[in-house]
Amino acid sequence: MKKSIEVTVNGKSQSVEVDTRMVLADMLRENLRLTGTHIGCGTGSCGACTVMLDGRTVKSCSVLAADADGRSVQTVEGLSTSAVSLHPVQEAMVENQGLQCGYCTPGMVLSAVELLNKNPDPTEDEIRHGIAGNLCRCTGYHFVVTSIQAAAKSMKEGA
Amino acid sequence: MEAQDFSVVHKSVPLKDAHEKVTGHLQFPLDFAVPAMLYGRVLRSPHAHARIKRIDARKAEALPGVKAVLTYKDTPEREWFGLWLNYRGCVMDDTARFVGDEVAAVAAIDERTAEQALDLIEVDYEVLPHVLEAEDAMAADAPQIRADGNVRNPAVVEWGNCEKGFAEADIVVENKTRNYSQDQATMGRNAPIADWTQDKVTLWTGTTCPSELRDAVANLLDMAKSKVRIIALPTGPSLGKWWFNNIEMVAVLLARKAARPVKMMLTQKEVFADVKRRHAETTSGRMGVARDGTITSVHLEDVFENGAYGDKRDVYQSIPDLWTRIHNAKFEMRGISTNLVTSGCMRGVGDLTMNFGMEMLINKAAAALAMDPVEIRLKNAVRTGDALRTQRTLHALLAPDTPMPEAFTISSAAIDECLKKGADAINWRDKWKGWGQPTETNGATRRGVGVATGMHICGIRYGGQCGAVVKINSDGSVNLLVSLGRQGNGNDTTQCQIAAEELGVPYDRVSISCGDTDVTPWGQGSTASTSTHLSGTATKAAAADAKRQLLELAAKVFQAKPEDLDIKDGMIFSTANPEQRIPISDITDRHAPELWDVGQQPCIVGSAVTNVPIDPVAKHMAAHFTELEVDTDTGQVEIVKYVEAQDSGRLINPEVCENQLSGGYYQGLGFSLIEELVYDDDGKILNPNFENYKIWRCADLPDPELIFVEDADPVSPFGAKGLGEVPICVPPGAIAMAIYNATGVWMNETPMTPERILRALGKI
Repeated sequence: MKKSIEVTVNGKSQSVEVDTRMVLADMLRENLRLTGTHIGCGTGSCGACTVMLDGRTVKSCSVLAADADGRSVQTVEGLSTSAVSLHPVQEAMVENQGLQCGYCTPGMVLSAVELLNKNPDPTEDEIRHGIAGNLCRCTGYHFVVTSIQAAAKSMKEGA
Repeated sequence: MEAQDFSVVHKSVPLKDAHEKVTGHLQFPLDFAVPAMLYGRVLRSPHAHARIKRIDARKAEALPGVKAVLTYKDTPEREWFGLWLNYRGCVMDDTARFVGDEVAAVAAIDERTAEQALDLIEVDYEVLPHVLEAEDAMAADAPQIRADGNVRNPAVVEWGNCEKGFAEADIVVENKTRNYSQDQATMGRNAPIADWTQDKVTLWTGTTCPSELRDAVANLLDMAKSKVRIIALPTGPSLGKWWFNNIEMVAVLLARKAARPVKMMLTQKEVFADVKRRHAETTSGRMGVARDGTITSVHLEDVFENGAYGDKRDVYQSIPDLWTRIHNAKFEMRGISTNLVTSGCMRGVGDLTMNFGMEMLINKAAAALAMDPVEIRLKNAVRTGDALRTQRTLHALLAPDTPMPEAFTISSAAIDECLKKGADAINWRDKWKGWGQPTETNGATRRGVGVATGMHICGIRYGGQCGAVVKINSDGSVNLLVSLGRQGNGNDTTQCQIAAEELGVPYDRVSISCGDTDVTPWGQGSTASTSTHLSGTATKAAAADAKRQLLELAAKVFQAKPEDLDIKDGMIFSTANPEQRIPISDITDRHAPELWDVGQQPCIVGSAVTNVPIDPVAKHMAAHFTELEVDTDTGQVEIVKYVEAQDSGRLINPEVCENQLSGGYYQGLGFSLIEELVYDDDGKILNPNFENYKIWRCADLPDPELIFVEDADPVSPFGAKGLGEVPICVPPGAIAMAIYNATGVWMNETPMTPERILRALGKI
């Protein structure tokens, strides 16, 4: 069954026709071609598909697209304001090697952004628990954590 | 050159594609699409072993939206071959050899239609007896999986006389280890897209070996290699899974039959259960030692469980080379077929599993002598210039037409320094209390320390020469063409650093194309810790060739000899008078002012096809130390501290290398403690997903302390060895020793789960 929903994606309100069984991740990727939201496990275990729904991170493979009706979604594509300027978390990941293959990175970035929005000065332990829902197979997380620490510092200085 | 003399090498510059990755712009296979493409799905065998008596696809073909159905009747009778003895076989034939084996494939206008069509394919199976354990498959009356039987001839590396060595020993110990199967557990999924024009096929796929995949497709279909174009997409984590697999061949054949581009869709379950995993292994051994700790003899018998279509045996492993000083040795490595999903190379391969067997033997020998485990390793491990034992077997197998060199030696080996620096870092002198002695006891929890060593290849020359092309554009910017995969190990970044350093241009002036086989010269794929060492050698030589051409042109302008000129930061200068300098573009962009006069622009293309020497040979190695805590009531292990000390050669990009060591630690501790594919008696994998196959999360382990012993290797580009695989090879030995010292029980099976630890403690 199809349903038309009104959803704000990366600040822009739009109506999208979705299958009622469709999950948010598929709507973003297939209907809107926002493929920065990656599909990993498809069952809410790995965090690769993390996006923000009304300012809170969700695993978009585990949310029905229809449930985004009337709500606001932010994906990794909406984080940087232009092709060259990056969000401080993205900037810090680039500068501090907070990534390897890049598959988990968009989800990791969004979890870090939410963490820093809620807690601008997190301890290392709070950072580790803040991204514990995002699996990274490559890095061993060390530089992911130091990237988020660097982002926290630069966001505070920029504020 | 010393580290401080470099401009680009030895700098932690950001990854070339970091911006694409953090913005989500980088397209992985699932994200990639071509116009008019169909969607492909695979019908897989429900049986571990069965013959297809009848297969009827007519109803599926009649379903609206279905464009083609592929069965074994449409596939070549010839076998195709993967890399490094990861044998494959036919794309499909009339026999299914594991639960999940490809039986048919459908191309349809969308994924759902393709899935519906799978249900309409009628298959009558004659179910055959199956065998899942290597030991059972070796029995004479076992069901035979391959036409040539289940048991391959062993690969043997041997020197001296083992029995004589045992007779000379004061103590002989025996041990047997068993490793269960780890999965690469990749979040990314491959989704190859094949597209045919009249006589040429283009295949976009997540592969780390574009050149070798091109050759495999061309060989399978008897096509000119120029008519097969591979465009390698970034794979996401690979760890060996995404070299290339049967799914690519299915895509090529299905697209040909459908006469449309087809994208093969894999589910997460298929990625776990139906593609490729790490083999299971048993290692049985005896070791003889003299009272002073000299190892007089070792005999290791190793059984690789290869699944249905693997073929590892395995002559590429470096354990005999790490322990080359042992007086007498015999390493026998046998590959066995079973009715489980194909196993093959995963990061570290036998230098993880066999190494565990070897380390445990050394531990038992040292314990019997009451000798410090660091001391026995220092006494027996390889040193620079020692003979390499595996190389003779390799040379005989892979270069039978080339004369056997008199000697094979190791180019550099600093394992002694790794052991000493690692011991200092963990405070071994104070922590080591003797065999079976905890460092601390607190109620039911006990702490112990452990150490282990490991070694792995830096690729091998016998895999083929590697090529590189360096193009200098008129503005002085540079394009590097070299064949590599993009699996997150930073090898594209590393190659750009090598080219920039050699040529004397800034890092950001170099772009790389590494995935398109129509564009790049042939190269060994990003497997076996190859890229930096082998492709890096080619890249450096191609950059040197381009530089030579540039300086010849510049010599006329400078009215000097080329050898009196050099390039740094994109500026050509006279070495006698560095103030005399011009930008590269002054040479490459010499047109008359205000005229469009490209005719005067020189076309500079540097190229090289290189290999590394037959002798000496580079290998990478490491010593790891850990202190851990075992809760003897629950069997739970907590890592207190972990130290990796690695003989890395020169680091091209130190932070990229740190990520490699840190990630290897996570995966190695996963192998050691928690990761295992579990299957039922029918051969069905029961945990093909991240809910039931756990990998470590961010808050689960402390960061390791990393130590690089950075002696420049004499046969490596800028002294940089490969370094990606040894980090995963060492943990199980260190963990098992620390558990023994904490609790007094030897853990000979991996993963060392709480259940296995409690059983070893006699508590369950």
